Amino acid sequence: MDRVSTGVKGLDNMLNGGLIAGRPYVVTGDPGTGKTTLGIQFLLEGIRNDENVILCALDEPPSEIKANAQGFGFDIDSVRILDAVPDIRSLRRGGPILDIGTVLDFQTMRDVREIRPSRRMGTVEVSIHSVQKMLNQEAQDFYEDEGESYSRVVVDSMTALKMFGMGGEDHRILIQSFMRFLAEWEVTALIITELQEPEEIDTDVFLSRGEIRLRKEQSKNRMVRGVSIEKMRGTNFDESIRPMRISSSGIEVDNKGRFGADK
Amino acid sequence: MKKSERLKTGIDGLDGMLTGGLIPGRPYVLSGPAGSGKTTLGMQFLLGGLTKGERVLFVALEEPVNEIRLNMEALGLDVGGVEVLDANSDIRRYEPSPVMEISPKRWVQRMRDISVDIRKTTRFKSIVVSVHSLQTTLQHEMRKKNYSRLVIDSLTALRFFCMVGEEVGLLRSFIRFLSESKVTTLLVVETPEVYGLTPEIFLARGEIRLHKIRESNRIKRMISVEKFRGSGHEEKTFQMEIKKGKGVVILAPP
Repeated sequence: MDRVSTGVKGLDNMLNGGLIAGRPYVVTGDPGTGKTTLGIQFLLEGIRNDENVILCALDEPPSEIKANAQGFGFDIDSVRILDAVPDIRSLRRGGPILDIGTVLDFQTMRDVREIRPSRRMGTVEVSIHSVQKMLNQEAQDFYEDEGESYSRVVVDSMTALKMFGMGGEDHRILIQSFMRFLAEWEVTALIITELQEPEEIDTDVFLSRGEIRLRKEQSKNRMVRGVSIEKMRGTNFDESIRPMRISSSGIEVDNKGRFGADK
Repeated sequence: MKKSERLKTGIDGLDGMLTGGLIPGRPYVLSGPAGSGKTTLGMQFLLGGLTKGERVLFVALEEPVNEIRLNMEALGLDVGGVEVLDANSDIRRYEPSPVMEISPKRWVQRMRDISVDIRKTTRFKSIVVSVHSLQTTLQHEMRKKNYSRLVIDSLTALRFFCMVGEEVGLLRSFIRFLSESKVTTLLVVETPEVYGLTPEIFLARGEIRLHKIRESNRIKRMISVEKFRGSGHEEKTFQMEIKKGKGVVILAPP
């Protein structure tokens, strides 16, 4: 089974050489733990290897993701992006509700500048199955135009869709179909997600082939960051929580260090 | 019930914890959190039957079967002889297109014949698995082949994706169906980080539970028998490991 580098060396070491290619994984953690940054580093690693990569933005506007990435000195210009961040809801009654698939298209990060303004007529609605259909179309178009396939996809994030985005239909079945879609596409995917209640099973985490959990704790008067692998199918992995840092050049994991050792 | 009538699980130490093995022909729950070793232990249970010449069936509802095969091979378990029913639903299309139910002719295969590449949803139709179609398929297969051991991996997936709307009633009926079939079944159940009594545990005749405790420098794994109708059982929790070439190994068993 081929391995794919996460773009973070210490994390690759924890995984015994990287993620098993072609499977969907989740990155979990509270807000501010570095999930998006890890996603970006994973995509940049692909670009360094001349792979084609997609960022599917569902929470944070791409213009902000781009600005934040530039803050780390990351050049993400060649990342393909689907801006599926929901619009401001039109408060006027009776305005049309538009499926994202009918109004949006993929862009390259290079062309992302300002935040996309909400439409004046109607509100763009995002659902997991419209995202699935758009990714599927993009995969086919890209193959026809370039003769190449995508190999890495980041979905940032599933949290909002899990919390609000699935009126009426059974969201567990929609997520199952989406995970099956990613697996059949044979991309290595990172799905960024926040865990819901500890008494509940999160469908995306449940169906993922592995979970990378980012942690932060307050220790005396400073923050201690850590990373652990909670599950990883088909391979051995480092079972410790390892210390992690977010420096000016991104995430670094010390896979020899002890979490909380310097408290 | 006499010891000779017990079904050996095939996992060293677990039979001791069960005072000789499982009572055959009944459904049991195998529970535990993500990554605790449930699929691996389920596979060892089937291999335990294969080595005695029994027919065994693995029902995959959660993971693509090619990945299960690759994962088990990476762990050094030779699962080639296990029969597997690929009961994973296809990608849904969200547009009018024919929906087919699974059919046994198409899906029961030996593990060794499973392609290493994922099966792709066909262009024009999607196969959707409901508990009814699964039950019909299993009924048909069991009449033909006389399976003695069955693993449902997982009952959680069956409940989440194939029983929309009326989970508890359908679960009860599915477990009743398994008991009438007289096959010894392990029902894999994923447990959340905090959990109490669930309907599947209530309905099953026993529960083998895997535990995973996160310590800062390792994951501690343990196994216990929580419930076993019609038999005494070991009440202690035992430490276990997942080892290459062996799978789940219980340390210092009774």
